[in-house]
Amino acid sequence: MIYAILVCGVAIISTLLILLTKKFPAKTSLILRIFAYIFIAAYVVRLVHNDAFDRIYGGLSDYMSTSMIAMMMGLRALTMISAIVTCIEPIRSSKTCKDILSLFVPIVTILNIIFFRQHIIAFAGTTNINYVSIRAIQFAIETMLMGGISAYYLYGFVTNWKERRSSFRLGSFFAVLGFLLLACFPVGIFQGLFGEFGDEATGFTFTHRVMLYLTCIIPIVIYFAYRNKGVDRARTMLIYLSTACLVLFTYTININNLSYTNLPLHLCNTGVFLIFIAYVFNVKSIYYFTFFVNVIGALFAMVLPDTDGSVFLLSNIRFWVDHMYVFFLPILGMVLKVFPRPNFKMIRGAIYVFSIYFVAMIIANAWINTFASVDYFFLQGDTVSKHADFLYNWQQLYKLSVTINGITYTTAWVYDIFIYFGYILLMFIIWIFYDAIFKTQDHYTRLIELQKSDMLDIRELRKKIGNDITKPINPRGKNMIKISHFTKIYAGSDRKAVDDFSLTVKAGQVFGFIGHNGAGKSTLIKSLVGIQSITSGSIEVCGYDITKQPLQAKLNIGYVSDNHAVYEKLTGREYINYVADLYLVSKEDREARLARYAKMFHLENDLDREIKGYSHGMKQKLVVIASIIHNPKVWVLDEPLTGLDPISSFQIKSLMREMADAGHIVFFSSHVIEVLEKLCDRVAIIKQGHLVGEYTSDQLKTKKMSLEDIYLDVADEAVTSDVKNTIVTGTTNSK
Amino acid sequence: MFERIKILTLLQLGGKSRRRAHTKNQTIVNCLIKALIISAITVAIYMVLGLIKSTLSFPINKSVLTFLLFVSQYIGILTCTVSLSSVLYSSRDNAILLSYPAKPNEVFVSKLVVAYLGEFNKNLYFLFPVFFSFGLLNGCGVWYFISSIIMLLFMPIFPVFIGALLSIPLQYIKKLLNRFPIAYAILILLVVVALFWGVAAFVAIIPKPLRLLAMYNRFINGFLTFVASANQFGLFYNFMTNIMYSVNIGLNLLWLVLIVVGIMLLTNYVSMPLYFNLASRSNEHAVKSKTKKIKIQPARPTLLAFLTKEVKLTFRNINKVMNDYFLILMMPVVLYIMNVAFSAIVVSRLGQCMITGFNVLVGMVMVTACNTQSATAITVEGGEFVLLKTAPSKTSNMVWAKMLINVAISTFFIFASAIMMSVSQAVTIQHTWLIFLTIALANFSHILWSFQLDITNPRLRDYAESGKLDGNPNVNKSVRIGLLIGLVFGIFSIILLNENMTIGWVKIICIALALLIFRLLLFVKNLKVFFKRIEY
Repeated sequence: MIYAILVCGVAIISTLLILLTKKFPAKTSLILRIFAYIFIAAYVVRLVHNDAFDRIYGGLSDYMSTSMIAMMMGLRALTMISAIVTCIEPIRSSKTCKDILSLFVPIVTILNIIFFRQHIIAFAGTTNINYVSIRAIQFAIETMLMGGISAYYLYGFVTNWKERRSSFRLGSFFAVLGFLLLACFPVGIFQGLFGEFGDEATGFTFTHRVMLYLTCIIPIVIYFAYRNKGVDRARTMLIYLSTACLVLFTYTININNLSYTNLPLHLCNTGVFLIFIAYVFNVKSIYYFTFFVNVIGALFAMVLPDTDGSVFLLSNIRFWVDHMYVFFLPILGMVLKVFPRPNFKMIRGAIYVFSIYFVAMIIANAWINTFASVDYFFLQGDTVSKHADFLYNWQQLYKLSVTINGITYTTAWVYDIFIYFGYILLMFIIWIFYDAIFKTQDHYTRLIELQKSDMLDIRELRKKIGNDITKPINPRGKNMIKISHFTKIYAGSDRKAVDDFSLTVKAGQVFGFIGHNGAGKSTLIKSLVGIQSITSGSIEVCGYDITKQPLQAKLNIGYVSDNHAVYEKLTGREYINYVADLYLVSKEDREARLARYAKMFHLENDLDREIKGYSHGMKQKLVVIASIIHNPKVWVLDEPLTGLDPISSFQIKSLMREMADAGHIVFFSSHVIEVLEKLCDRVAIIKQGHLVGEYTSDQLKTKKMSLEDIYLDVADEAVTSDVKNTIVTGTTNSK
Repeated sequence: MFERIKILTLLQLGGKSRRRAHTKNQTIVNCLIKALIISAITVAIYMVLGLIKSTLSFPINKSVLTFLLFVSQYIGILTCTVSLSSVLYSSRDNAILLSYPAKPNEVFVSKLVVAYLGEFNKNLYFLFPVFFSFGLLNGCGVWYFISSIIMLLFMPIFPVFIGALLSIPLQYIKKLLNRFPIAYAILILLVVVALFWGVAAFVAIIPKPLRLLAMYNRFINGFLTFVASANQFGLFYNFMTNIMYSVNIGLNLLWLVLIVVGIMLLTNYVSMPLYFNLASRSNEHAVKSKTKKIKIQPARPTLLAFLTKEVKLTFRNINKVMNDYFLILMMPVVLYIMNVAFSAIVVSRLGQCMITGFNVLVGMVMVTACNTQSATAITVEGGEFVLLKTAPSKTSNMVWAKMLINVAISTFFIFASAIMMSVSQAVTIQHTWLIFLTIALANFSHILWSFQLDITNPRLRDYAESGKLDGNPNVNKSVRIGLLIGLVFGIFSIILLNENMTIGWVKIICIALALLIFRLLLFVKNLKVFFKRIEY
């Protein structure tokens, strides 16, 4: 009779669902949700019943065979998964869970109908079963609803067979099923299968360590499984896990038997509910409360458990499983980026929620302890204070009592304040700790990205010029500098320091360029010599790409920086030796060149003195010698004449001319217009990162134009967006 | 004048504080965080002092407070003297500050104000919590707490002004030592001899066997006698505590004010006139020509070139090296004294494990504290780094060259410490060498970690501009990491060795080795990716 009722119930519900969704196709989602909520309500009703299932595994042998007990335990676990999937899938859909609801849950429903009697025996703990008891009726409704909803999904699967078959992935199906089975495994089964064993979880015993290792390993495994699956799937997974945590927590709770002492008001108990609310309803303030407060609370509880009896005692398994969930669920939400990284605003929100909870617990303790004995958040008893004498003394000495209607409410105010601020301090410490982890995560994510980009660059280069990447990328540009569409944006800035800059300089030229302070001269030079990175575009020196073939390109460059920094504790000769070593210059070459240049700059007698004693000009001259000790094809100088005396200035200018005449490229920046005008074969003007004019010395002479006039003219103008389009060699965009 | 001093002070403070609040909210948050930290320190000190008072029956009274003030402030005077001698006379910002339209004396005063604020800030995090904890533990009245705040304002005056006075002879001594290296060598030799004599004298007075519990009362009484006699030299600190504990407030306050005024006048008439003379000296043409000519050398491998350069710079900056490695130089002495004291105590098996753990902890903290060299190895290249960026060779080798120097120095002193520990016989020879191996491995890991910090976050431009490492975040991080590594290994040593001595050592060495391999792998990865991306 009961079986017929159950089957009919399933048929009616599924038919009703099919008819309703056909009649109102636009409301399908709403209809399914309503049924899911009814199912949840039916499931919640179970909480008011005194369920004997988990308490009587050992005693079940009086009523059924051993194989049947094992079968029933397995079926309970599968029913848990089915129930959770039936609750969540209509509310938050996921492809694999839909398949599970379509194909797996109907089978579990059929098994539950077949073994309905055994279920009722196990719930009631007696063979004198009463099918009209609350638990039997509730379980019948639960089975019918679960069966009805799953049958509807099965119907959908069958009717869309072709489409669903093609998207069906057996691997994912069993992976998710296995995952859910582990997540929802009824904790009582451990005790049912293994009985009471293991040592007491009061110290760092073997089982205690295993539990702690598991607590760390499980979230790591989940993280690696879901890190690339996207935020949406991660959120769905976390909703399932938080629901599983809630269901496991409430599984053995019986509202009828609840006393004040076992109300779920302790930090981690509330965490079970709050984590569920945070994930399902996406409530940020509650999430950050769990992230900052519950995680650390659960960790303390697990590291220093205060439990009696073996680890596999039902209450202890529950303790571990609940705390494990409360520990890692918020962390997973953060590392899988379901919630953004915390900032001060978020920690402030968490402090608000914590303050409300804390005040509520003070009131609850003060009130309930007038007629019962409770210790919520360990504010009343000595669980915490027994570890520190001064705290115990504070708890005993400083008490605040308020008498209302003859009843005295008491709280240890100093102790409470200490715990409150202590926890807030802990939250900030945790924040610093989390922040360090986030920074490490960011750093290594960036490192991996850069590594990949480096490898790609080399691959690209190989594709372009073959396996020997020391060959020039542009053999035709062997004697030139070629800057193509070079743009530079500094990190942390949105302004382009140099914008779409293109230029070619050929051998035998002294090329100078001028611009106002901050125009981009040094930026361009620093990128040209490889000191700074290039945002976009390319720079080739003697046919080598400065970014992709830096060593080959730099071998052809000599650079005089604008800061002429040198190792002051070395002597001049040691410094030159050091630079020559870096530029791979042979003994003979460096000897000959040093002798020549030292004589030219009158430094022969100072070379063996520590640089510390050199004047500004002497240092500058030393840097100049160091920059040409390897006889570079391209000599780049950034403001080389600043601060030099007239003779030194003349010597450097002569050397620049000499180098250019010998077929080298001399590329330099200066603020001194006269120098540029007299010395350069070509001059360019740069303004706000744009090349705004380029002139040869012949053009200046034939047109009888003064560089100063041109520069002042250009400098007065505002740069418009079409500047770069109007650049014509030998002309400017000015009138 | 005051306006100019204010501007100069703000200029220097602006350069020092990198995390300035830009909005009112940020200021409030910063203040709240500071208040929270100070409260936390106060609670921690209160708890520690409470524990000392209740468990160890140690008196926490006015005399001890005076002694604490006396010791902390004398250390303050020492540090202020050293730091002011560089801040006042050889700081790079002198060139900028002295060129402003302000008198040199105003620059001098502004520098003292900055030093005063720095000291005040330090006191806020240490002395303020100490004052409050003492007051709470002794049940002092409101006057104590009010006067302690007033004393906080007085307190930094002494180290700053006395430091300013003492920095002048120090500056002359420095110059003298630089001029006559032989004098410097003799001085170092004298210090070493004095140190060894002191250590030998100290070790000789440790009774054997050392029964701490039996001698406890004697120790307390001896300590209190010592405190009382030391307090005779406490001078103004006695006046301060007298004021705080309401003893002859008027007279003591008068003395205190007179002393402060006296020190200020002395600084005004002695330091100020000499300031400009000392601060405006240049090194140009100050170095004598070296007679020995160095031959031109053939091209060497880059690693060798870097190594040669580093070795030369190390030997030519011996002063700096001594300052940088001061703790590690002291390590053999400290560990020797510690172990001689340990060897005099009859201990259980757990005690033996704890001795090993303490040795590991103290050794590691001292060694890793010196690895700030590695945490600033790239940064101190400053403007010179440009040369490395433009050189056509594997310039990342410079890191290995620098590391080699750091590893060589630290390993040598760890080795020396191990020998000293062996002499003391507090732990067996085998354990001594296992401690040496653990510290050496962990230290190498820490050096790698510190280098990595600087490779990923070098402050080249800051250093090139200021020539200082003040506020370099890598230094603080490196010290924190060193402390953490020391704590972890110290605690692990105690726990693991107590479980099983042999297996414990295997585990500790394995952990140290694993840490080293892990850090080495990460370091190589970071070096490969980030070194070439360092920009100037």
